Amino acid sequence: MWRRKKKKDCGCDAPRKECSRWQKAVRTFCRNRLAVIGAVILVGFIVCAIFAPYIAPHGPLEMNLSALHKPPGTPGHLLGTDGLGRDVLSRLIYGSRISLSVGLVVVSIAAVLGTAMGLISGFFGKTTDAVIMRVVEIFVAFPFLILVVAAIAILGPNLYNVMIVLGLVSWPLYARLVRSEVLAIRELPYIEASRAIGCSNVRIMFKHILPNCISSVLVTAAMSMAGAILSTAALGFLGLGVQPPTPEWGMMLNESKQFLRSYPWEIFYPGIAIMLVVLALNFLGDGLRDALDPYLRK
Amino acid sequence: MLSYIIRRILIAVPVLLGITFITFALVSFAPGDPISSMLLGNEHINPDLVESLRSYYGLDKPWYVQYATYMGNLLRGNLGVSMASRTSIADSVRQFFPNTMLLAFTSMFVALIISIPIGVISATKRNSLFDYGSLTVAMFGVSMPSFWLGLMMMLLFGLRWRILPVYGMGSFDEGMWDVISHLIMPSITLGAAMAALLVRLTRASLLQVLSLEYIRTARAKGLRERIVLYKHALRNSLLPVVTAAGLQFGRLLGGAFIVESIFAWPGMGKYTLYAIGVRDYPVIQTTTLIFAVSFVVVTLIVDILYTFIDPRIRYN
Repeated sequence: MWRRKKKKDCGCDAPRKECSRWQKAVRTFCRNRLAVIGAVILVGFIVCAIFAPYIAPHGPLEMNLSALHKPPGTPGHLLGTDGLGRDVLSRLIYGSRISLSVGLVVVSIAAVLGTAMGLISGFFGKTTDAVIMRVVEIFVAFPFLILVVAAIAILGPNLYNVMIVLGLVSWPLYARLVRSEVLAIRELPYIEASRAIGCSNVRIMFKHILPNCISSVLVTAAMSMAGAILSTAALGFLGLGVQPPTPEWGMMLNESKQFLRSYPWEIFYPGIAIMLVVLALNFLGDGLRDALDPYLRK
Repeated sequence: MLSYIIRRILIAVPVLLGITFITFALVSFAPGDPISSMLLGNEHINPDLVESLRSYYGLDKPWYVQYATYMGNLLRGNLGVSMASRTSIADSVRQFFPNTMLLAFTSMFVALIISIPIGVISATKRNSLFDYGSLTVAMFGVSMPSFWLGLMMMLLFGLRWRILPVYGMGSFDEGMWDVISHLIMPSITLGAAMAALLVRLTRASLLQVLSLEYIRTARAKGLRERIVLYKHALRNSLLPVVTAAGLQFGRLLGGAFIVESIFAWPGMGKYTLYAIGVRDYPVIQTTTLIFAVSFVVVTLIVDILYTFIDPRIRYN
């Protein structure tokens, strides 16, 4: 049958040949519904975190001792109150500050440290590589949460220790990833050419090799931020994370756990909050991987 | 093949050494030492007594001497003495370790039992409602905090419907069912996240194998789809799944902390958490070491088993 031929276009304003790879990636990302949903949810949480004082109906530490353990739907307290009369909704909103900031800091530390180690290890090879990879193997030999719990137990549970310990235990993931990418890129002709014209090692590493690794680092960062938020909540649940009265989702679950029999609704909302953020980050990570991956394969 | 196994074991040795060093460093290079944490609240004690206590525990010697003593003790099987209860740590470990292993292995078993059939059906009925449904549930499973799942299950099965016990392990003296009923909720809680991961992995792996040429040959030969699936495709696609399950064992060990805390399961996790509460550093150190060593051993076994399952590895 006669069909009208449609000119192929990737949807961006520039003429086809000038459409950059990033624009193509954004286009692929936007077509993935789940990834967009994830991004929207994440933005929602970020807005909550930044504008918490304006959004939350009460303060996070505001106790109302005449309204303890109120169920959701009580006037003034949309999601109820906890054991000390604090509004659950406000604590959830302020708690997003803690979770998101810990996630961000942990991923930044781990990504920067891990990428640097991976670059050095992959680029210089031989003994440097062997040494760094042995260290990575030793870190990886520890079950993640166990090393984290032991370190926090000894260093003391507070926000900064959580961030630092989680960051320091997560870097091997990035190091191994970046190293494998570097090993592949290192053999390409243009690297040899750069060396031939006299580029220093540092310049080659950061200007030529690194930009090609960035995509996989970004995808891993999104997924591992989800893991960091889960770990923070787990530490909070065990009592080893951010200490009360600071509102943290895991700690809220820990406090509600004791009242499971009498006030069972209290465990719902912090758990849902954690799940939503992690879900959003997972969707985002999946979408990023699909958007950036075909580019990688080219 | 024996040479591969020996080589693999030899590679594990420096890793084990590194683990012992890190667990040692964790306690030794940390701010404050075990003695000062014991003395919290008792600062009026005679400083000479404190010093003699320090030298009794060898805490005044340089770190390499302390490390050598530590390694010597470990190799002789002396896991140290708990500072809080003055009992031998080895005895407590002997009591609690099997329980944790029971929980961990049961969880892995549960995860495999749930995830493989779902993954297979998902792959064979690709893009169907079941497929999308299972992938969505898997997505939720990966994102859900395990402690939340545990609490919800406890609420539903333990408190609302009262069909399963909520705490403890039960004992074998009262019959298998007693232990099994105590095991159900913790192992499902622990295994859920791994099951979700394995569903996606099984599905992806099976889809990839089904696109290979020898499957096309089998179909072209006229074999029934069921035989193509189970006899040819499944065996090869399960390989990455089983190895992933083994490697994820570390996650199970970490999750055991949380699950044992919720369900009061008498295992290493609960023991460690108790030790953390009373600042019993030797116990924390030793249990971390044991967890890490178990993980290394399981990874080693998985690697070696892998050579039996996939002969190609041997010749690399």
